[in-house]
Amino acid sequence: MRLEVTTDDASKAAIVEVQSESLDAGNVKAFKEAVQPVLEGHAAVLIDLGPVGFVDSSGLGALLSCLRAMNNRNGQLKIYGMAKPVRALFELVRMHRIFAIYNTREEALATV
Amino acid sequence: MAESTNASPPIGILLAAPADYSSLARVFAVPELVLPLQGKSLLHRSLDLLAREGCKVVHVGLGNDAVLIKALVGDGERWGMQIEFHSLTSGQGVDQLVRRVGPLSEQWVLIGDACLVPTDGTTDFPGPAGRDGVALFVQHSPHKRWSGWAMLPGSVLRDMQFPESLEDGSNGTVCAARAVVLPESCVLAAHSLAALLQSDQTLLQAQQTPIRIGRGARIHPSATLLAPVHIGDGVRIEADATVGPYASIGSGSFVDQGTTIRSSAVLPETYVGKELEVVESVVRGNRLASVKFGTVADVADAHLVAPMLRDSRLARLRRWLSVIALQVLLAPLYLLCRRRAADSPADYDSIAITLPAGIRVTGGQPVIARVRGGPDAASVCPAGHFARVFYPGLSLLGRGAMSLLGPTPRSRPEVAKLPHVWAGLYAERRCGLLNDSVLTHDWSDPETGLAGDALACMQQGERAHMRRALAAYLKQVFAAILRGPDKRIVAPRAEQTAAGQKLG
Repeated sequence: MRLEVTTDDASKAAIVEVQSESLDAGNVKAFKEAVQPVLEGHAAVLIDLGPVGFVDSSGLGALLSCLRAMNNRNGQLKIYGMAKPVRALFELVRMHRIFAIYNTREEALATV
Repeated sequence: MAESTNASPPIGILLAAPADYSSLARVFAVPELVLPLQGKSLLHRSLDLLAREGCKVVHVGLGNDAVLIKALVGDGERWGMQIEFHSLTSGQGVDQLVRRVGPLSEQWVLIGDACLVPTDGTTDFPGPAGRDGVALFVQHSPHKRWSGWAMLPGSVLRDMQFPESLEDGSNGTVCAARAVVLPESCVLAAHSLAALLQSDQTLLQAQQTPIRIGRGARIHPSATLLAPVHIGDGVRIEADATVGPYASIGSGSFVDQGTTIRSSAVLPETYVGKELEVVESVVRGNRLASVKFGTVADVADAHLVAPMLRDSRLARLRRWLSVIALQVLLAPLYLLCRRRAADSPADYDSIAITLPAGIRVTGGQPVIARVRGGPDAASVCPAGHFARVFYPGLSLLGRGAMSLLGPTPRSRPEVAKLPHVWAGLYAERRCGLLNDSVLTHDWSDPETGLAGDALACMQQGERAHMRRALAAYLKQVFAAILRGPDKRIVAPRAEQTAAGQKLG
């Protein structure tokens, strides 16, 4: 799992771009390992799910794990750029009520 | 609807050959005119309508789906009609069908597209102020010599010639003395997802009672139905589910605990999992089509949405035989584990058997069996688990009460601590004998279990995963037998505690 991590100069938020077409049982462990240092090193993390077209429940679990980790440290985790099928899945399992979801990076950064 | 002044029954003409598959037909891999809408397809609704109009002979134009439609329509006996089929080639439409029928009698009823059907009870069509391009009503009765109506898609009607005089129309061409546009509320359609959902809601509004419940439906007392709602035959709705307003559940579907369904249609034979929220969507099998987002999502996890599986007798027999074979195969280990569990009850708190690691399963986790057993929840003993839980539990597989692979059994207090979205997964009925507690070993990560659950429950590739996991499990089992009962590995205390907390 390859993650593109950049930092926004103004807000100091880490922006994590998931460079995979799916987030599922096959790569969720790699995702968690890759994102863990980013979560530990920043107070605000934005995850760009734009390239991800498919998420299964293990992927949802990994994102929940990230959210829990950030909440425990009073940090912020925001998700943006979701593909429509992924957004539909989030709504199906009511995770849109748990996560802060934005359409664009600018919208997400504005709330940090 | 037709102005009937003649005793002879009108001829019915039905074009059941869509020019092209709509996007919805591609989504659900079913021709839209046979998609069930509250228990009845548009094709059947068209034929119902023709039967109500008194048609005794109906000419049906067929296209690519001729075999399917012929099978569904049959000989028309159930409608009391005689059906005559006409095969149309690509590009031929309602005008060619009318010519095939020959000279029209004085009365006829034509449905120019079986995917566009007037709502039941729509007799008074409004004027041309309605919405454009939905459907058109055509009537010709200037001298009461013959009359009829046709409902055609706008594109078809635009290409047709409508002579004003009766004589011109008597040669088989559709005549139109009056063409009005039907509003969407009068038309059932399924050419798109939005149209299907709109049609569903139209039917709900038109139904005589605000809440309709089909035969054999079972609804838990704590479930909530909000009108208007349609519950099909044999539907099962579990505790705390909320269905409606504007929701229809297709026959044979299952709505699990705590799920909310509103402004949506669940098509027949669909399982909707626990604690979900289905809004402005159409669900069929494992496919979720969201009108709200204008997208279609394939859900890989069978515990979310999935097609209902009805086992055949042969499948049930095969399952029982598999279970018996598994019991026979594992009987020596069962006896061994029972003896070990009886020999060393005092060691339960400190005994853990770590079976050979390094066996790879999906996700790259080494397989280590370390599962619950013993008299108290905190103890870790695969022998106890095997003797008391796994082996007796095999019989549950045969009954279909438990799957071989599935979520980890968890206690109610532990489930209560889980995030809301996951809590619904953990009912005992859907747990698997081979769960993440035997497939993973990373007790320190509370999410590992969830990943394992998802892995085990994935509908896509589940069989392959099940085979691999079963092979790995049997390998562990026989390795344990070969190693003998004296090779015990004492798990570190912290690991045991974490494992105990995990397994509850």
